[in-house]
Amino acid sequence: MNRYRILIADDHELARSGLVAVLASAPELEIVGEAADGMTAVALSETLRPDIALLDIRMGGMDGLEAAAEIRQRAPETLIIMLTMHDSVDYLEAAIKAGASGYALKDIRRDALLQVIANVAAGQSFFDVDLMRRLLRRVSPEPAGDAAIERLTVREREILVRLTTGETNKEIARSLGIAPGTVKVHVERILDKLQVTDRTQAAVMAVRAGLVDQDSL
Amino acid sequence: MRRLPPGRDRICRVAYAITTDDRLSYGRTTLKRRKIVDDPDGINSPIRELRRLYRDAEAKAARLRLIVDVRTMFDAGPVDASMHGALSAIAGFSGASMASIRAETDMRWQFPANGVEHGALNESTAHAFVGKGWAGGEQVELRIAGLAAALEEADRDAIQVVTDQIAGFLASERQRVLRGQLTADLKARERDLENLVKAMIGAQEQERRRIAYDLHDGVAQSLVSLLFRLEAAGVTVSDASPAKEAIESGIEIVRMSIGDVRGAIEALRPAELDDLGLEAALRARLDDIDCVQISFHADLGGSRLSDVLEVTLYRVAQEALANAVKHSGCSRIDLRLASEHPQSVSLAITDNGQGIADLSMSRERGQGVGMSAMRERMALIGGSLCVQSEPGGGTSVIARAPVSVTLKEFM
Repeated sequence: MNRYRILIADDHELARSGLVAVLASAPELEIVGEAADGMTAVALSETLRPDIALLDIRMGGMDGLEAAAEIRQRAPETLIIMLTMHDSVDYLEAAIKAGASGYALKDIRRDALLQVIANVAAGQSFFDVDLMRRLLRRVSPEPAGDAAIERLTVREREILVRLTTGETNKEIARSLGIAPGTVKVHVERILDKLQVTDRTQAAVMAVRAGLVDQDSL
Repeated sequence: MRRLPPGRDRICRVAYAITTDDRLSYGRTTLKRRKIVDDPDGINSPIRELRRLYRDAEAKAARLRLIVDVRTMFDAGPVDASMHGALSAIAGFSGASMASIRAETDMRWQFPANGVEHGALNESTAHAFVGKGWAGGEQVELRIAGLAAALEEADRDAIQVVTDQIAGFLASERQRVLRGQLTADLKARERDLENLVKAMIGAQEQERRRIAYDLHDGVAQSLVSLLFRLEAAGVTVSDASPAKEAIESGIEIVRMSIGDVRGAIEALRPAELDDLGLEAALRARLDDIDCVQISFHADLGGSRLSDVLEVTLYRVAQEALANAVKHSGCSRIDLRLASEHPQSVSLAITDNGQGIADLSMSRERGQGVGMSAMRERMALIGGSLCVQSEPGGGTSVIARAPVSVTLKEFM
């Protein structure tokens, strides 16, 4: 089995060593590097080319958000998960902007963290569900405009609505009774038609276009 | 010429000559005339009587003029110049060669300026008057000396009036100086107080930020580390083991504690405020409010304001939102952050709640204290806070401030 190669960046020695202890017990993961600041994380990403970089947001010197953007530039194949204390929609937005594929809080349970890593490694973005709900609640619907949404097929719209609740491809596939691979193709088409780069931005557009009942968020 | 008894002719002519001599004082001439002329009814000298009346009137006018002149001098100019003018007028009026004033404060003025010291004059040719002003609270002593002739009682009365006037002027001058000093003192203390408040609020913000950082970097990270270690330990024990249950409950306690610490950090000083700015911090604050419909508009174009302005506006919003949620029973809150023109920014928090029945009464219910503190904080950055409310008509709190404000105390 191919193990995911992980880089961990956190300027708190205690938290970092705790995280190493948690991940070391997962056979599918291999911790290839540790960094105590953003600069080191960027440098290590360039040389080690990890599959995933787990970044704390608040770090001395270059913070996790800057580091994320830098890593996306210099080691594009390295996917980023922010692991932070900040239970905040704005940090989530900033993380998405910086190119992160995942966002989880530091008090996340082990199983959930391993799930996030697995999802991101599989090419899906995964953000804290509660934060996503709050993010989408902020978006005020603007029914006018958005001709891009009009170009979506019925099935694509169906899948787009499900993206707003943070469902994974597998979950969507299960509830719609189709293959996960098909969902993946649909999602790619949706992103292409809406001219966005990730599922989160697509979800935001869906909410803005009024496809989703805001009260259900 | 009429016939007169022998010897009377000469005396009468002399008296007539005296009465026509303008250079001599009228009072003394009258005395002589009364002695000399045997004409008690004045029938024989209507012209003389007219002259007497005319001179009386002149003397009265001179006395009045003295009083009015002195008053005008004091109304017009500074004390020293007025005093010099008054003393000169008094000396002129009384025919004295020297006049001087000594106040209770031992201040002295004299005319002419290079004359003999106050009080060092020959007593026989000197007069002293004590003037009282401010209901006796201020006393001055006027001395005139070197008189060419004795003063009439009416003249002395006039000088007494003027002396009282001078005492009154000195009293009011002293009050004015005192008031000026008090006002200056009060202003200085106000400035001190303002600086103190500024320093205290700055210290409070610094303290809050420091504690929030310490919590984030210290306790929170230790708890996270503890949580991860418990999780790692949990993996090594089987689900059936009693240790598993203990570890699980430990994990829940740690997660709860992390939640508490996170809440404390947010309440002290939200990280958004420093890292992402006022807009993000306000949005995060609004995210935490449930059960109330919220609308938020910001047209700052994503630009950051100065630290002190962001912190102050955030605290105002915090207070206003807490009031709206706790007391107003509103179903909707509208928040607007706008740059009014390039130099100023405004933050308006409006709710549709029951309003504040009496803005002045709200203080008694404890609502007004926080808002007064916010008003103080706005004033410190050169801004203003306006609270509008009507019973049943909701409440709106509007804070305005110049964008150029920077205070080192807040950094």
